[in-house]
Amino acid sequence: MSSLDLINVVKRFGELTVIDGVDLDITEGEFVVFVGPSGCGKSTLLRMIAGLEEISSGELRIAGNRMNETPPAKRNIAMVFQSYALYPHMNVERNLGFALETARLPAAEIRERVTKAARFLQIDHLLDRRPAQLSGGQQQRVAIGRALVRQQKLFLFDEPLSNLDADLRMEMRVEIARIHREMKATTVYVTHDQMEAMTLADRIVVLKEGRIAQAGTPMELYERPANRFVASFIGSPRMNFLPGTLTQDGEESVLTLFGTPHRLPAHDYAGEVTVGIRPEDLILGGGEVTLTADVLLVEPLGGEALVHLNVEDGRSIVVKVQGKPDIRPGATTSVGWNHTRANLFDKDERALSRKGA
Amino acid sequence: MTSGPMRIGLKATRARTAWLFLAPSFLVLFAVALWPLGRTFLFSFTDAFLTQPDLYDYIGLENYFTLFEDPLWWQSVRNTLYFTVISVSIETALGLAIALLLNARLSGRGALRAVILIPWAIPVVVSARMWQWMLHDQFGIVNHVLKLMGFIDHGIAWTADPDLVMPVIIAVDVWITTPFMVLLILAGLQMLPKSIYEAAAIDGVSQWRQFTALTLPLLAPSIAVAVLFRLLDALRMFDLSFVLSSNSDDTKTVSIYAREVLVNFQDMGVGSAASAAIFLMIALVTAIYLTVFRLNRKLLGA
Ligand SMILES: Nc1ncnc2c1ncn2[C@@H]1O[C@H](COP(=O)(O)OP(=O)(O)O)[C@@H](O)[C@H]1O
Ligand SMILES: [Mg+2]
Repeated sequence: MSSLDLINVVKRFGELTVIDGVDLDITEGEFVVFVGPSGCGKSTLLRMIAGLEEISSGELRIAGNRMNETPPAKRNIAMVFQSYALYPHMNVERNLGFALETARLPAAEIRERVTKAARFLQIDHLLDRRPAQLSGGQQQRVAIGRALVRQQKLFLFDEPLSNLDADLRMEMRVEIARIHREMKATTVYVTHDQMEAMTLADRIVVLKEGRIAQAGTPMELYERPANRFVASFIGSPRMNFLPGTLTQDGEESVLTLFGTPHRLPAHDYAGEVTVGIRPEDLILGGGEVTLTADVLLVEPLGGEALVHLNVEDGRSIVVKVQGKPDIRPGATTSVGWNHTRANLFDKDERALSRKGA
Repeated sequence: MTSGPMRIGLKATRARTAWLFLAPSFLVLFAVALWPLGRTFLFSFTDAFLTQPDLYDYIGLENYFTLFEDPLWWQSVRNTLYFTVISVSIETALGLAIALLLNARLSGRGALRAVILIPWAIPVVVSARMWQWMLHDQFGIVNHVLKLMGFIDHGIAWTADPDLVMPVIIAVDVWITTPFMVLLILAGLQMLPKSIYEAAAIDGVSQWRQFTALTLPLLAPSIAVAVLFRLLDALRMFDLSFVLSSNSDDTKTVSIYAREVLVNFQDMGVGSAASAAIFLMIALVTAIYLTVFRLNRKLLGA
């Protein structure tokens, strides 16, 4: 286990700044997930930690020691690549043992570690096969095994599950969670899948265009997104957004939505706002704020259903309800929410906090 | 669901179309390769002469006995094998080294790659003539430069000295064909997955071990194909030796021997026997090479 500190880390490729001043402290044993849309710099940041990309400015510390100039081999890390990066000409056993062989560990020790890792990952029956003779999920297990046998203090994963189908992804997610629980190694995990981030992370770091949009526990990000970007990125289906204006009226604020004023607890802000409500926080029939809407479509998902509505200006929103709702497309209905479940964002898309909060 | 007969019908149509497209090339192949080859084998059992190729009798293996009793034939076989082994080895080693260099992130790599191909793009006879002039004992630039630098006092007769002529031919061949090796090996190098090197770097595998444990085994198929091409080429080498030292027995290759018997001595029978023997020799070397390579691959588990 190692702590990991990023201090105002910057990465430039020529003129292009890909990582733009990232500050982050990761404590020993923590499972941190970098999440964000494709191209936001997740892999680059991870590769800078690994030493595969140079750091343009700022400092990287592992276990308190500056690592900027340290070659990858000396950083005491193990990494799992998106493409698995298995050695195609070696069988599973040699793939697992190659790094140990290189480190001149005694053969008995190598065999023991390889056997243990293979058993742990349930690939002990595949030791004689070459990567081309394995399924994607099995290759993924070998790649993880190769990282495990080295018994390093810091694990790096770059989208390890993105080449797998949905079932396998779920299975491997559970597996990775189990590995972390048992090995307790500090882990940095990159994904573009917010679901993976939510289920695996102790702490999620949402990246946007090379900067941290927000870092926090999954629940913090879900409950109190710091900005509209994080609000729309975390959660599925996506949060609904409606335009409105906020004005002050004495000790209260007034939110005007589609021409109708609604009284709210006081905010320190007046002007154009965006109201964000998660599909699961919308209530068919209405709440403290109520709108009328036309039913567009009902998608039953078994235990729950997604109801697509058109609100007043033709904007469509999604409501998640339990069971099967008793409404049909074409009908008119009311939909609403309670103040505590609404997120307000100013015109710079930053979250507004309540007065005093 | 497609019904059985319909699928078979479709397959048959496709096969017919394929044959239709292939037919012209088969015809050409037959006309320029198989037919002459068959005729060569046929003539190798006759006493035909080039002056009257239609008048001949079958004389069994007589021509082969004549051929195998000629010490000059065996010397040309030795020359050919010597030339082949040495030149292909040097070209492979050099080609690999240059390909690795070019594959590294050098600036101006594209230009280098183009430049390195030039020797290979020049027709061999032209290169041979060029080198012949450069190696001329009195007027050649090689001797001139060596004299200027004080290494030698008198010009060296590069292509007349029996001890020097074979090394000179090999050197020129290396100059001409190394680019071909570089090109094939470089193509192989660029197909290797980059990420395994990153994995190896993180796992603390040294550069040298990355080369021996990852690059070499993964590159082996590319190298093997390149070597095979060069083997086939080197075994029937004619032009270089013919231009640089046409009459020397020290550099006579089997191809030159066959031509000599056929054209200079007009002996179609023995000439054909020599040609047939060359064909069999090349086939044999190729077969051995491919077998060894397959075995190797099996042993490596690749
Ligand atoms: N070697 C490179 N040279 C130039 N630009 C690069 C290089 N590697 C990545 N980038 C750019 O950096 C940005 C972030 O890339 P990356 O970290 O791979 O994104 P992510 O992993 O989040 O999808 C992208 O715009 C990408 O084009
Ligand atoms: Mg990426």
